[in-house]
Amino acid sequence: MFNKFINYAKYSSNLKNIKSRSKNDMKYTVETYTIDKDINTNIANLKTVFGSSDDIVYREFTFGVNKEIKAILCFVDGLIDKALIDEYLMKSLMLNIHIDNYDPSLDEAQNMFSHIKNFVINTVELEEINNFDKGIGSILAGNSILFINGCNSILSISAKGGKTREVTQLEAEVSIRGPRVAFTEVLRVNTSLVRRIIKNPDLTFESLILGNKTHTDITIAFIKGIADLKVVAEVKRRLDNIHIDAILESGNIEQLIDDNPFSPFATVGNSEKPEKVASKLLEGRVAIFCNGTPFVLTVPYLLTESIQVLDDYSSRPISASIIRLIRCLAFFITISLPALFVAFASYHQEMVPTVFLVATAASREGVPFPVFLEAILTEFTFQLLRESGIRMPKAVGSAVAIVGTLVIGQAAVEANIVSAPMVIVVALSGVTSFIVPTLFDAVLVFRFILLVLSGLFGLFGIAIGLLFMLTHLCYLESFGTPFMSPFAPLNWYNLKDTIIRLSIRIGVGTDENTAKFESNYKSSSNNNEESSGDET
Amino acid sequence: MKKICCLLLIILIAFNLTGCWDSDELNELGIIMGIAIDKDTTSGKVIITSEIVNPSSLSKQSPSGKSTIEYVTTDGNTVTEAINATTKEFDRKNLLSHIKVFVISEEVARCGVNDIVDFIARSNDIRRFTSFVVAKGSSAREILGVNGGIDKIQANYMSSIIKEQITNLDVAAPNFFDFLKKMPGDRINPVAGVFGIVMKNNLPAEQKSNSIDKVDKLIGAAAFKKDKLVGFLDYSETRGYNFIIDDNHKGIYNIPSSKQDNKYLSIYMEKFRTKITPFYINAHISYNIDVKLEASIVQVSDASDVSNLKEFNDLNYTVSEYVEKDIKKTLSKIQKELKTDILGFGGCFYRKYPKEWKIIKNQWNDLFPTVNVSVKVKTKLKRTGLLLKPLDGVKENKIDFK
Repeated sequence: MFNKFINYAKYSSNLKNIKSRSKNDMKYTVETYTIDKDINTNIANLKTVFGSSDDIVYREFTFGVNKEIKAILCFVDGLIDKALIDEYLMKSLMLNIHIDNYDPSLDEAQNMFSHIKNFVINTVELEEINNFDKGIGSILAGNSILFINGCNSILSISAKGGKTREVTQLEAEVSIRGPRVAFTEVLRVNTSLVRRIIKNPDLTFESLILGNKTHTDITIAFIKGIADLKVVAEVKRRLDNIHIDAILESGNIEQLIDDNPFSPFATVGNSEKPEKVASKLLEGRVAIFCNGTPFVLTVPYLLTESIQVLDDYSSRPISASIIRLIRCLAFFITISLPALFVAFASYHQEMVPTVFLVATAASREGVPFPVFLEAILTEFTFQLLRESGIRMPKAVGSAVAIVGTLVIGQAAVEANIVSAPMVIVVALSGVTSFIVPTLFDAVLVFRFILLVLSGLFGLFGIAIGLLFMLTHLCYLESFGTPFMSPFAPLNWYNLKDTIIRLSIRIGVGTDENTAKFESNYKSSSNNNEESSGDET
Repeated sequence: MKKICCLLLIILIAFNLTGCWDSDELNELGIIMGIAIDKDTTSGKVIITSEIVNPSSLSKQSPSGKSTIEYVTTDGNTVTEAINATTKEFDRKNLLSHIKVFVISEEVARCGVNDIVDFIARSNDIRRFTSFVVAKGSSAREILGVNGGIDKIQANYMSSIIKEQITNLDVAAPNFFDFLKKMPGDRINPVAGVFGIVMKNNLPAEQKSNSIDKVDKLIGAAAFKKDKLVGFLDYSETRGYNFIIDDNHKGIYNIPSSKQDNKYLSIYMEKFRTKITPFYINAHISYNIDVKLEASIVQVSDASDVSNLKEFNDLNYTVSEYVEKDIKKTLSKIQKELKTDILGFGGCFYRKYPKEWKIIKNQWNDLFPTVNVSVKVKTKLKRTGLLLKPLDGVKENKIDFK
């Protein structure tokens, strides 16, 4: 495993040499500009950079006791909170609050600059920027930039605003119990949602910017002392190696840092639940937040996570275990049921109970297609209906359902184009596929692979297909962790929370990570000992 | 990339070469449910009657007017040839794996069923736990052609009867696998179930066109010597046979009342364990049969008071006596008349005296009818049912705990 890791590192370092470019050198502008003392040059430069974009606002004004200092405020319309700027920046400057006690000795302009920075502008976030390019980035990030005549530094005032989506209820991962809040598109809101759950100084957020054109904000989160620093470093390294123009959402990152881009199994997890991400962080995983997406990535991602649902932990262990077993079963049903039906109906008639065989034969009388073709057609129709149901506007969605059930389902059976058992089989495999939604990609691929194999070789083909899948699963790794762990390599202790869930009491304080975390936790804050989910 | 393409191409071509070679569509198959085997006396050919399901008659969407089962009769020099010839006159390919029942006619059974058993055992389609019965009084195809039950498929009707045989003490119909194991005949000889046709008077409420219908009925058992039928056991003889060898059966056992004529006590046999012990003393072979019965009283027709302990104990002895009588009757029939070791005496002897068995092995057929058998039956009645006293005698009898 480790050798592979090293090989991968070597491979990607080679890759890095080819297109050697560090993130810090990321440029917003092609030409290099410097901040000129003359404000007019700066305006001219700004206007060349932004061109004719009319959402950039340049507000020229003068301030000072004698209204002798010329200044420009520059920002992107719609990204800032204008009320804040009016109240705390423009008002302070224009009404000369605190400006009159300024001492104009020494270097006049620089002194004026630090005076304004330290005494005049009364906003929380304020940054001095000496680099013109950084200033451009700051404007695009939604800050307001203040140029003062005669200074070769600029002030970046953070008063972000504008319309974004509110924190709303869960949509993709619905849960019966547990918090209702879901992540939004705004990165800071998302990190704050997690911070609210894990009140611990060890929770670390590290930011970087990805996308040569989009300059998307990315934040890596992990808990020091729990997360494996090797994994953290690996995540950073892989993110650093991304050289792409656009990062539009976390799904793009997912594919760029995935261990096996060609595998149907995703080895990077995602969630829109702050609670889930927090629990994964507490398990030592690394989370990747991406601005503009309500889905947060978590790595390493293991196969067992696809059958774990937060609700399991709030229901009784026995019922949770039963439900997990049902989910496992659902996974096997959804990938193999159509294939099994085809195998039994066209190769292994002797293995079916007689009554069932006669009933199946009765329903298949007069069906024009061989059972394999019938299965492929029905499955294909189901996928068509599913896809159109998702993509349709909600108002039309119900129409698709009616067409699907009545026309395709009932009418096709009555017209003897497909047999009723086949409709049942495909419907069952369709329903069960929604039980393990995170494995949907893999389910789709392997269902068709198994179907074709069973059409060609019967049960023998299904066995080959499942073996192939198992081998592939054992081969997969997610950031150095085997995808199948704790099943392969087998770890008896960690099996307590896989296809069955034992009581939460088992293992409290005994697991190495938990113990470590608790000791850190106690030393850092004694007051916050209460469980983390209370306030959210 | 080139290599991968080559590999994919090879795999694709391989699919074309071998794919689907043994695939059968369900609507091209004729599911054979039962087979009757008769013999043409003049030409000596085997006549096979296959009972094939017509699935479309069971289909809900487009039920065809045809009946649920179709019979196809073919002949040939061997069973295999005859079965294979089915497709000459029937439009579906044979599917043998769901055959529920084989009915052999008496003549065929008397001539030997070795070839039939060989065909069934050699086939990798036919299940070993299928039923293997002999037709008595009528030809095999007539037995297979009678459906007196609810199930639309006739073979299911027969196999259900065979499955429920264990609720009767006086029939025996082991499955084919049992027959196959015993057919070599050196230590034990096989037994097969027997079906006969009986008439049944229909009642108006049944709304049937005929006033009299035929139904299949299990009659006793058929005793074989190696692969040849040697004779039939009637009901009471089969009961004795079951007491000795087959402890699966349960059911009602009647003993005549000692108090009143034509009155009976009914006992439900719940459990019996039989132990056959051979003795080889001074080159003289004898057997002990120990039967331990557990039973309960289910009906008392005479005035016996089963709550009376003395009477109850006496009843135990009476049951033992009658069972003993039954077993002895069976033994004399098997030893004197049939002369075939269907009781497994040879096997018992072999297990206890393996060295001596080698000596007497070849003369066993002659020795078997002559061996002495002593029978010992011990009965334990466990329950008397919900009634203790006879209904008409409640007032006269007092409870006596003596």
